[in-house]
Amino acid sequence: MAREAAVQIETTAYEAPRKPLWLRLARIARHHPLGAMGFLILLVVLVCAIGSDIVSPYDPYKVSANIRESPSLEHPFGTDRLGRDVLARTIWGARVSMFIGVVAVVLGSIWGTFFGIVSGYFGKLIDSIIQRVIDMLLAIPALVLLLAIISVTKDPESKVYEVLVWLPIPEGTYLGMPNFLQLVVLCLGFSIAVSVGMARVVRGAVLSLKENVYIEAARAMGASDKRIMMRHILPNVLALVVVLSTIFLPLAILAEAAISFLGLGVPQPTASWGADLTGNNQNDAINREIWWVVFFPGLALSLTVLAFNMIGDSLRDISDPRLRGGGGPGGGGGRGAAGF
Amino acid sequence: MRDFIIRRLLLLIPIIIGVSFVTFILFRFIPGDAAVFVCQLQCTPETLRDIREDLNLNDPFYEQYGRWLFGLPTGDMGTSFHTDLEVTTELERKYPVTLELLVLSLLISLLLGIPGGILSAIRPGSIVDFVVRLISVFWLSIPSFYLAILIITFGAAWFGWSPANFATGDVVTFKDVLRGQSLMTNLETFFWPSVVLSVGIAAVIMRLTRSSMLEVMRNDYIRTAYSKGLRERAVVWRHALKNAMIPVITIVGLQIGGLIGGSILVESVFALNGVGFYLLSSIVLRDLEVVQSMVLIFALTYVLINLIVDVSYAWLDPRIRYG
Repeated sequence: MAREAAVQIETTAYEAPRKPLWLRLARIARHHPLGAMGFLILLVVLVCAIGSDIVSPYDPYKVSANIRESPSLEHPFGTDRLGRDVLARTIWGARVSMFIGVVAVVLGSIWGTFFGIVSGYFGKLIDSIIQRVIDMLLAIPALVLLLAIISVTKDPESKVYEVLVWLPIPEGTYLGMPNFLQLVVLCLGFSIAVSVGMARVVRGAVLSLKENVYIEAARAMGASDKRIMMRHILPNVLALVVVLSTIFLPLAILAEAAISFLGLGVPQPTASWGADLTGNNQNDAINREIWWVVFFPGLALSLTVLAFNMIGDSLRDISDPRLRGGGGPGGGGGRGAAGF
Repeated sequence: MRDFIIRRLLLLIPIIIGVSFVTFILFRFIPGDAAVFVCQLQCTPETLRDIREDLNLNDPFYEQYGRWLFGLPTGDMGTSFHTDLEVTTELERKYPVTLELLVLSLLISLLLGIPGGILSAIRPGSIVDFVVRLISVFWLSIPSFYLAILIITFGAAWFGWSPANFATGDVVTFKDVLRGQSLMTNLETFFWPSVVLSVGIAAVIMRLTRSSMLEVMRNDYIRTAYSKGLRERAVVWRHALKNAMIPVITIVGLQIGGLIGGSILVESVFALNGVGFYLLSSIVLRDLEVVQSMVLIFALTYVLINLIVDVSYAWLDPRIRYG
């Protein structure tokens, strides 16, 4: 008996089969139910964004005679003042919102990392100039800064368009998004706002990175500044940049919605969650009780942001057990609500 | 303390110059000037030129900026290109609206956030904790403009309620209440916009209060207070809360920036004719002097509220002194 037990212990310790992936995922999901839920919501949004053509039951831009129909089996989210299906617009809105959010954050990360590394690595005058510019930009309320940047980049008479003409960017509808060029211009505008915050944090990381011995070693071996920045500093800040990007993504999506809501963002008739909350839809909702035209796009927007927040909270719970208290939501400090 | 306040107030001067200069430069980049918007119809190149001349838009930019900047000490913030009204007279009407909105939402967010955070922190892992944290993550995620539309839409549909200023088109500010208008109308106008604006900040305050309280409750002096037989209420209110409030108050100060941005959105939904709304329409119309003045007003509000925050530290923790 004793011998048997001993053998058994030995064999189990020996084999210790790695649990299949889905079991491990299920374990994480059980401990962090809200994080798992956030992940699921995000998955749905991503599927809607990428496969809008397949998921969407109707064409979001097709005008029909069935105007302002309340939600029914045929039109689960109802129709708007032009008879367009709100469900289809909400699904296609996911594509526009995600597109602008992702492109803006990717571009912003590129500019931000560039300026952050240059500023932190060279120091002295270059650093002072870049940082003072960032200081000034941060001194203006975020939304006002965004409005300013957007009005600069959006204006058809501005230099931005002259430059964009040289790039192979389709002007009309592309990937199912009308006004594609304007969307790209919006992305550029948001990317500037993203890069401001990004550059500040990256610079801080570079300041401590560049004191490492291996940087000195590289320099002693005759590596150029460019090589040191590209080969030794960039790979080390990349992880930080990725983490920051995931924080900026929901903020960029919210910012797009807020700016579109104010009527300065995504132009009509492009389906966008923010743009669908404003103008005629808002009038319909407030004055004629046509609530569904604003309720569902806004719900999609809120759920997306909620998903990001729940995932973020779970990740923080995992990394900082002191703030944990049961498998619940919400941990430590709050991220900036940014006023949207 | 007095010296500290004076020093901080003196710091306002470089802030005024810096912020206004950046705004000025930023909006100079925008192609298409106010003249294009002033003459909408029958706009010939000649009239356009005349209008530009009229509005001094042809002067070099440093002259335009200088004229505005040196007008400030005399209380002259320039005039609107469009309405020809002095910015300061406009401000007299609009600033009370925004200020009341900001102050009221700050109060509401503290009222919502701090008790929630405390409840959650003294029983970590309990149902209350779970509910509070669930609420906070929801509040953090709902965009203010969406919440505003929902309240107006469903308020009208279910309760037949709509904001008091929608029918009359008139916003009764606190200033008007002092002059004898009804306080109820004032609150009816401002309550929901303030709630909408405060929800996001309240969530931040709630979470921060929770984590800060958790931190403080682990201290030795809290255990001492418990072991000498004090009731929980006394421990929490008298011993823990004040110490836990310092990081919370700091964040509250920093969040004012977000509140100001949010006020633009909320004012535009609730048709409150405040500074944020004014700023938005001026940006669209390229009304540069107004934009500059409004951004400046916001920056000053931000700095002054943060000064109050800094002063309140000394009250929360007597060890903090400003020399």
